[in-house]
Amino acid sequence: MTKRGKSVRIEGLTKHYGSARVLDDLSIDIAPGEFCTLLGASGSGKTTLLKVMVGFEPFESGRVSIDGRDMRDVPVERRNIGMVFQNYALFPNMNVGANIGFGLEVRGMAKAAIARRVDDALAQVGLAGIADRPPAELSGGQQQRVALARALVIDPDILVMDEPLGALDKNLRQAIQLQLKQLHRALGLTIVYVTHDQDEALHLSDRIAIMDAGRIVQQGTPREVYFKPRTPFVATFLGECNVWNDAAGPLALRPEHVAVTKAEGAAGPGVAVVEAVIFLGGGQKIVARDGDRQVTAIVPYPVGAPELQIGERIRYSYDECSVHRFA
Amino acid sequence: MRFIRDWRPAVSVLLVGLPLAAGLTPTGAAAAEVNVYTTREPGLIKPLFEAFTKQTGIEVRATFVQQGLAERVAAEGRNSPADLLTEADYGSLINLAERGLTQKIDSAVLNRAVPVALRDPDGAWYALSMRARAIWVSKDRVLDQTLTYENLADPRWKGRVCTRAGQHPYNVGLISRMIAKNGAEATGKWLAGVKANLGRKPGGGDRDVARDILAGICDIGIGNSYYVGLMRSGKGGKDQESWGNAIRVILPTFADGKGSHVDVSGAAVARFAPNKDNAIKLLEFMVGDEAQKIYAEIDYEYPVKEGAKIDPLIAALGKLKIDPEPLISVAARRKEASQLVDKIGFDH
Amino acid sequence: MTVRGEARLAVRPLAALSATVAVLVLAPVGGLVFFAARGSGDLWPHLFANVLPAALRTTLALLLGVGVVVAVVGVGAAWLVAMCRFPGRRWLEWALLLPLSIPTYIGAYAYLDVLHPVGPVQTGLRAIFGLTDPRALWFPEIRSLPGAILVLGAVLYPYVYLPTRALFLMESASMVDAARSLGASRWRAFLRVAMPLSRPAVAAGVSLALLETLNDIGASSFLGVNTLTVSIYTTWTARSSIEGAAQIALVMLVVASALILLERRARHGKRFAAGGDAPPSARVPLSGVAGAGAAAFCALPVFVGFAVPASYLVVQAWRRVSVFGLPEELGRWIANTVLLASIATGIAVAIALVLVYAARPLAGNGGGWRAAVPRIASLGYAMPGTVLAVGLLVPVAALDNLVDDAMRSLFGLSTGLLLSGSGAAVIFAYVLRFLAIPIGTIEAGFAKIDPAIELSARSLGAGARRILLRIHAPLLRPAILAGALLVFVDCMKELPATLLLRPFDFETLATFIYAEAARGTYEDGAIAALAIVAVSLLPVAVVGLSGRREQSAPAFPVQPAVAVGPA
Ligand SMILES: Nc1ncnc2c1ncn2[C@@H]1O[C@H](COP(=O)(O)OP(=O)(O)O)[C@@H](O)[C@H]1O
Ligand SMILES: [Fe+2]
Ligand SMILES: [Mg+2]
Repeated sequence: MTKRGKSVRIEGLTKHYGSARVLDDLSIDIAPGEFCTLLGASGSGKTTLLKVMVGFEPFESGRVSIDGRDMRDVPVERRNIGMVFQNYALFPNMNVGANIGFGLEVRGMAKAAIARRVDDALAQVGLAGIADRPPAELSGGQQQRVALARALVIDPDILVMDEPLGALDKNLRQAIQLQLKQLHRALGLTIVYVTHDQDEALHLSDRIAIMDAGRIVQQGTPREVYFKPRTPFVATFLGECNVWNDAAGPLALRPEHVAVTKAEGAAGPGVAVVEAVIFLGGGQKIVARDGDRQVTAIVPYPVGAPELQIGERIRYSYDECSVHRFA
Repeated sequence: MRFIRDWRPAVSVLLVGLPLAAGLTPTGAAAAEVNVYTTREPGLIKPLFEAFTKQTGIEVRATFVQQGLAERVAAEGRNSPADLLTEADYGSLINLAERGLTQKIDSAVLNRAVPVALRDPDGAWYALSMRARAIWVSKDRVLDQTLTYENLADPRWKGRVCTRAGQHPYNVGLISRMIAKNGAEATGKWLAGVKANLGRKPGGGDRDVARDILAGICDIGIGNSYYVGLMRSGKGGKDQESWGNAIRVILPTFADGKGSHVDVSGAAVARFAPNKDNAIKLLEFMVGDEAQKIYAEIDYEYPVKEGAKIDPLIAALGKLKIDPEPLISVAARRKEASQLVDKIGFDH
Repeated sequence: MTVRGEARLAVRPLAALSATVAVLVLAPVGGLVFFAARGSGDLWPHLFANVLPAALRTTLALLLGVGVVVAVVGVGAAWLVAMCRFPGRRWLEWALLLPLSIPTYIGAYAYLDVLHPVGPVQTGLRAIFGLTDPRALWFPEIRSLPGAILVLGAVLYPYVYLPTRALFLMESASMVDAARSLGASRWRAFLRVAMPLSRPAVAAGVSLALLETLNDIGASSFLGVNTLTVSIYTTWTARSSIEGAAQIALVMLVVASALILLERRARHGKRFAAGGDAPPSARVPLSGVAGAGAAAFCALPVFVGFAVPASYLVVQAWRRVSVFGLPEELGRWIANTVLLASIATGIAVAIALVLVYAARPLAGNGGGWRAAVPRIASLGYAMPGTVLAVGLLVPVAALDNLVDDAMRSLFGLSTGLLLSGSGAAVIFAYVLRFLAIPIGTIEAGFAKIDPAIELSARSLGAGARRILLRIHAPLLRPAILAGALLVFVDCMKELPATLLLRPFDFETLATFIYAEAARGTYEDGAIAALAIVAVSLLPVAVVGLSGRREQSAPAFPVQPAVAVGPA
């Protein structure tokens, strides 16, 4: 498809709820057609940022522009942003078809045309034939896809999703992630996606923006933010990470870059005592202690060899080039 | 703005359509009608109006406004549809006149029928009927044949007296007259004495006094003369008849023996009456022989017109002597009387 | 700078409507101020010294008594009916609503008659014991404070029963299950879990019942209980001072509003929890003595609050009908009453919907003065009907005369009394008096709707009106229905405002009853009273039955409750 979504630019946005500052001089640029994920702990302001972007929430200062145009005087209903809510927010008083057709009805489309578009949209999300069912009868995954279809059918320039997969089981989540990715590629629209799940963010995004306390602390491609975290916070937030201090200052080291061997003999530099061994299926995670340094390593499972025991000593090592120094 | 346009028809329907749909079209002044605001119960005066319509062809439309009649007429002002205002007591009639809600009528018919003492000197209102505030005693348990109002405070009635609320206009009227005659101090003592004699909390209506006498809750009480007729006639049902027959009615006097406390019902033509002529016609009809007979027969009241016949049930109570204290001086004590009731805590 | 986006534009008509309603609601208060400001001369010190202290004591005692009765009966019955199974439960669940149809003044009337020494109960008892002297039996006097508490409590407890039962059905069942799985006894689960959970509903119901009590004039004055409202009335009538009456009324309004505010504050943030989907667990079966006890506990209020007064009316009415037949105008009175009540109900519900919608705490238009409008609009419920009617008289007639003057000078034609001469003034009074009720039920309903639903509709391009009509109104249907039915029944029973404001030559059932009662022909009045009860029973039945059908999510989230006081 040739359509391209629109860009979103947010500059210096500040918003309070009462006296609590929820968004703090926040700026971000989202390119047309980009899949941008906002990742942050619960309460960091992700939902609020989405609401401001869509036009639901007033704010004190800053600017929201879409496609270069200041949105100040553009009401929600004219921004042409599709939104999918965490709990789906399907209209309980309407059946699936009416839910999906609602946005078209608002736009004054003829009944027959609406019905056609609704059927197409349902097929697109793999739910053909359920237009007559009430939402309450659907499973969580089905409801989620109806919500998605409802947001997509109005042909939005931007699709905004607030933790849309949070309530689903892991398999379903992965299946829908895949579908989403394909839809994004096929439709070419800009997607702003909110999650607190790092894996999800890493799988889906063209770009990840990490939020903390109403600010964006780092943004970049998944690889950038994963391997070059700007702060210890980002490092630990995006997957597990060893954050240590050495003579040159703080450093970050991913557990999969730590090698471990059994240590014979007494304690010394590079030797740690095992505190936990966690079986991961694809490998094992070893948590050990070297003085005040906690060492986490992810290593292959030693098939055929004796397992590490708690209290055993290990020697750990890493390649200096996999160490990341905070700027 | 689309929003507003869509709502407007609905709003106009509400504002205009509904009252019309309700069939409550605003009233205008039609030729052959007269509008009455009345604090008297409509059942009491309806037969009268029917007779009037039959005789004159003028339609009477009556609305029972028990409280706030004066406020309503005052608020409606020049557009008030009211032609005739009828009130159940003297104080209210004076109040209407004082507030300028009535107009003065000069009618030979009215002046001839209604004694001077029972009408406004300038014709702002006319009394139409009278009632006496009587003492009711138990037929079986009380032997007294004559009593004064002052006697109600005698210690021998301790725990045996029943009455409606002290703040009710009927009682305030009686107390006012007592103040006018005996002075505030003596009246205060008397009222405290009556309170000390009460067999139950003041409340309910006069008929409840008769019922409580029948039940033995009290032996003596205060009630208006016409209720005796209403009860004994059986018009209020068998139960009420038995209440009425449980009492003996004493037409009391004050200690000076001059006469009973009498109040009036009356009417006035409204200041902005749209059908003034019809209102006067109705008023004149109400003091005529036929209407005065209805007052007596249906309502068991004393007619104001000299020589009009009294209903036998009421005539049987004995000859009514009217206390000569002028109504005007009684009315002047109303506020004092009402405050006395409060000070003594009569109703608590 | 506050950037509000255009969400504001879409709601501006709502804002305008809100503002208009707020002004209209304040009109009767303005009328009262008009009277009060004229001053009552030396009356106020007199009232202060000799009237108000006793009236205040009586009022507080009455409120306390009625409060306890309605809370115990309402919560107890709601708990039994929602959580237990016992003989007659299904029938009682519905029957417990019946006293709603009995006006307080009729309850008072009936009880005085029935329990009087010469009434049927005592006469019957004497016959059994072979006594002849009416004084032979000692019986408590109904014309007393305890008597008034009994009568008012018996007809007002449904205000507590209704919302509390809904809450028990919806929320508490699963939590009570949880408490019991942790080893709590049934009783302990009730006290420690269900009661605290239901507190907002109970507080709400009790505050409604107490406002009804505070503003009652019929039953209180008839039973000789001199409350503040009765004092207002006597100050107006016997003390001939509408100024003094208005002054007391304003003081009372301030006190009532303060109490309401306190109640709101006390449960600030304690929203009626959004209904979960958890179906209520199976009811605990009670059999034997426990079952009979439960049935008796629930049957007693129905007996006292409905069966006695209703059968009294039937007997009285029958005596009259058997001799004279039905009054020929009965049909017209019923039609008038139902017409006024229906129109007022429709308007009140529509206004309540718009006000609550405009005030809902949602992005872009939450908070601010609009949030206060439903509170202001609920003021009418904190005023006695007479007071509201008198207060309304002045501004309505003034408006009428203004319009008339304008029309005369512009077009040379007189419009007369457009509002006060038609039924409009009565309808206006009903709406103002009872607006608090649908506001309460609709607010409670709104609290249960996920705000994201509206947000998603807006993101799909829908404007305020479409969202209200297409989404909220259908979702709020049970709340709207419950509010409508309660308002309708209250309008049917309303007396003082009807009496003062109704148009010329126009009777309703209530005014007819009053006229007949004032004249002492109780039997004629009984027919009209019975008609009020019968017509009110229809909506009460609808509420009861619809609640029964959808047990897991009761069709009446009636928390008229939320009705009064600021959010
Ligand atoms: N309507 C509101 N009123 C007051 N505070 C709010 C409101 N909505 C959110 N907050 C607060 O703002 C902060 C950010 O909330 P939110 O944007 O929902 O975070 P996230 O979506 O990242 O979990 C939180 O501290 C939350 O408590
Ligand atoms: Fe009387
Ligand atoms: Mg969130």
